[in-house]
Amino acid sequence: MSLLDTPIWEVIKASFTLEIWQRLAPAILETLYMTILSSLIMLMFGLLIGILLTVTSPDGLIPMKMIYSILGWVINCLRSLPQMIMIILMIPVARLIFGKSYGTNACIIAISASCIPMYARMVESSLLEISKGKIEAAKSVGSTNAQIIFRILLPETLPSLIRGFTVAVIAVISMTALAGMFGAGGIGDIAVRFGYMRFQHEVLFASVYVLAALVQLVQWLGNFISTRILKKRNLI
Amino acid sequence: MANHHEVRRNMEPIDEYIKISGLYKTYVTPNGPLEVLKGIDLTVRKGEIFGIIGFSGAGKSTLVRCINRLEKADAGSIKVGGVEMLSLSKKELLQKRKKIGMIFQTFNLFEARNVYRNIAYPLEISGVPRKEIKRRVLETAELVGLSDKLKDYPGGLSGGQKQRVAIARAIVNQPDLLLSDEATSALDPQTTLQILDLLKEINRSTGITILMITHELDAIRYTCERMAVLEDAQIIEVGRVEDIFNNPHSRTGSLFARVYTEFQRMPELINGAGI
Repeated sequence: MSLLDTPIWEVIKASFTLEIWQRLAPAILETLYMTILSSLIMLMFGLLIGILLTVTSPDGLIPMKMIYSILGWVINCLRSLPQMIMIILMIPVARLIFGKSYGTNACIIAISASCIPMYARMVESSLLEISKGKIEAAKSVGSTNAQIIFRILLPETLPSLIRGFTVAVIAVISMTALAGMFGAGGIGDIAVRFGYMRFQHEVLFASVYVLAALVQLVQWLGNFISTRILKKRNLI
Repeated sequence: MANHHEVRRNMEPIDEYIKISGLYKTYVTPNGPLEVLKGIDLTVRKGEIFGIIGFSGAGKSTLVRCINRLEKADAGSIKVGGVEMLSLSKKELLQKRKKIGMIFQTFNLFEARNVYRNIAYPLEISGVPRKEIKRRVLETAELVGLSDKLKDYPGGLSGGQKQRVAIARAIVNQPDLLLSDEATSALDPQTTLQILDLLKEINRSTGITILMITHELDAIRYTCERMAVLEDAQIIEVGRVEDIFNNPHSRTGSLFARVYTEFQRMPELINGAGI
């Protein structure tokens, strides 16, 4: 059913039929799988690199100009790549790891590689929000650097880290849709193959509903958790 | 002779509990070097409350931060209880810092932790057993008058309560020295008095040495026995608080005059405190 020859309300009505959603269901699962796994990988490495950036910065706990500069340079390079190019660049890496350059797992690598640098920068800016005074207070009672990072820096900036993660997960979702074009499967794949190439616009509509709902859900969850923490701490 | 030497080394220098000599510090700024400490010499006795007064840019904050090495001094010597702070290794410094508490103008409480866990933090990082932590936190909270606020988060406390938490956190390790960096400058006059009274009380009951820096004349006058005046990166006068207030050095006098006109709260404090 195409918008070219059918009124829009007919297409919308068709987008709610059982048959469409049965076709969409496995794709939704694939998208969820890609999103969750990529987000976890992004969280792990993004946090690690973000902490490293903050700690080694000239005003950080352990200033190390060399590491800080190299890390910053690599992140900027990776971030300058459009996501589509990143997917193509990661083909050999995926083949190396999974022995297969396409499919859901292969795309998780591309998505992570593209989103880790972004989330690392977000972590960095969250961690920089902490007041210098809190770090000084922690130092003044004899904290080691590791104690400052894990007992003060991360817990103090947790609401901001969560908000950053929310934005990053939404970027991951939009990238899974893009990766669909490159054999990753998922909603994006369905939307492009059926919704765009075969003019089945009701499928395109249904895909849009799913992606929108997913983004709403993630944003709501992120806001809910970070607000709850701030309320508990009596900060709002 | 060797024995005699040993004894002397282990003796706590009471009259020179803190001995700062020839301390220099210069910051590199985009506008060129800025000398903030130019050859500071200062001694503080064990168990006293010593005040350093200075106005913004005088270098007092840097001076106190050099003592626990939050700032790195360029040259000179700082001895605390006979130990040279500037030559401590990293590990030794962390141990020594556990015995030097510090409180700040902005309180610097950990907002992710409730009052109990703020006070417990210095003990937690030293691996003190849970039961012992609980006993000491409750005891310290009682001392600063916060027993009913332990579950509260700092975000919901008033300025005075926040500073009490900060004081409790600074003294829970039973340090020998408490550094106070403008601890009452963000508080209203009445709360300032309560905090100063608390510091005096802690000094009396535990014998802790307190080094407070401030720009508030009244705070020094109310709390300290001896004081130093810091101006333009140098100490221009040291002595008993009474003597300096009654008969200030001409430079000190002109500084005081400036502050008297800047801060009109002197009379109410005097009336309130009965100085």
